[in-house]
Amino acid sequence: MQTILVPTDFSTEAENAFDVALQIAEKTGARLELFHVVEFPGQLAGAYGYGEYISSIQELLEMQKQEATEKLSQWGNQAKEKGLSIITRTDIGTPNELIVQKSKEDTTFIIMGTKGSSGLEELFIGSQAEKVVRRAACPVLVINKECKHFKIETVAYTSTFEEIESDHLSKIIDLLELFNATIHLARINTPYEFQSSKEVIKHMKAFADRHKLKNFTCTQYNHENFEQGLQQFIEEIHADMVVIGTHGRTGLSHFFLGSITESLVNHISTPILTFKL
Amino acid sequence: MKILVPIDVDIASKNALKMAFKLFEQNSEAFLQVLHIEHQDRANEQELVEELRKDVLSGLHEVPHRERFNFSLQVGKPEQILEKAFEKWQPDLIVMADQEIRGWSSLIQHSQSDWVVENSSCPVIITHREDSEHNFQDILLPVTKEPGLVEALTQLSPWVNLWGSTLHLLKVSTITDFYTNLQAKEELSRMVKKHNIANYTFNYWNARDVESGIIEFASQNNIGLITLLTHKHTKLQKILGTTSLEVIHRAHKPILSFCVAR
Repeated sequence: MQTILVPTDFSTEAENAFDVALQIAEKTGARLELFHVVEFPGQLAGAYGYGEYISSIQELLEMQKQEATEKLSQWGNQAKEKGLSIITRTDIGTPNELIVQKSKEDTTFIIMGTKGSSGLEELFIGSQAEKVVRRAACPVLVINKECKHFKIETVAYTSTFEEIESDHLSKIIDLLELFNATIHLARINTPYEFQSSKEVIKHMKAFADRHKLKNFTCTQYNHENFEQGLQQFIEEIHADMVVIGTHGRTGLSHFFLGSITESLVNHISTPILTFKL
Repeated sequence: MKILVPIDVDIASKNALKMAFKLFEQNSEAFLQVLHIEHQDRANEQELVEELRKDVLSGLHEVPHRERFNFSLQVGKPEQILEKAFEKWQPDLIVMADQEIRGWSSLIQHSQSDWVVENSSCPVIITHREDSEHNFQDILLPVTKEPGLVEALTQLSPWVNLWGSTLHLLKVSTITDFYTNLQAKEELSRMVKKHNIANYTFNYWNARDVESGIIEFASQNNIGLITLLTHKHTKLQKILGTTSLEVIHRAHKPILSFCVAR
């Protein structure tokens, strides 16, 4: 059985993500795993003597864990009322690290919310979703707005179509076909990464053959900037969701080269489904 | 409507003749003039010329509406014959096969089809040996920086109405002349509004150059005719290559060309 991991911090964005997860689970029969991480509060360091500090923190964390478990249980009831299979878990630590760790276990997809991030905060800290997207071992669906009637009818899949795809993409395509989605294959063409339409269409058609796509279109979309071009394309086709691969760069490589996928996660309002290339 | 079809012994002429007959049959008021031109060097080969005449006539013996059809065979310098034919018959449309002469050879030899394309005052349809079915429903109109688009659209409009065609407007982007989709769409929208174009689609294509873009798009889509604007070119320009002549010679689709002033 498929497992959808739904990390939550009980925010509005997390609630939106859980809503979507419920709708997907109803369609796919997947089991839900609702997961909350009580974050270790570093700001209290130095406020007390060590002995008292440790004991206070532990009590605080246990209290928070207890509260979270009760909240998760209430959320979990929503799933049970719909006849869905759900388990709830609470842990203590660094959220994005524990979520990534869980993704390596028996998790098919992660569905999580994000507030997004920008400016210096984005450059130096980033959002939790961005960090999970970078390192998760399974596809991650990021939701940042309310989707009461979540649908996957029109999907934009953007790529150069020349990369070697991972197995995750097959799982994603199976999900999209379950929803009878039309997949709009799109290559965003910029003056700096210019490719002829003839070559692009050739790669797209080879991609469609490889994955036996049934409902799809091929588009090359020109813009001076990749992210803005993708946003415009998404608006033009009224996409319900965007699918994009990520290289998962970390450290200095990430700092200097960045990631288009992670930038999109922080900036665009359409649900994004990412997967490791 | 008067349709002039200059032909010669080349097998490519058969395709031109087929296209011309299709147009002739579609239009009950069309008049078809087939003009077989043999170069004066062959004038001495009387037997050959007579054989050709019989061959062409035998192929045409089942032509319906003989009252609206005429055939003549003339021997001499092709350009001189054609100039006189233009003056005498004042055609509304010329249909002929492509005759390509590349590079420095064009200093010595003239391509009849190039000459016609650049000197006729009416539209010219150029066919190729490889052209397959004749489809007048889907006409490609590349929107380039070449002057004369307004004039060409005015000339094209009656044909589009006659055939009930859809005009596929195309903007080709290259690495040095890059258009975003939005910019291309705005330009094409302005054009459609200005010229009251009714049945149309917008299309965008990226290629290493405009000529390749036009040819690639046409071959990958169901295009029946490629519309091109042509101008009179100097010999040097022809040696170096021009967009319109490049497309005429490289495309495996019939070309509908309009000679416009620069």
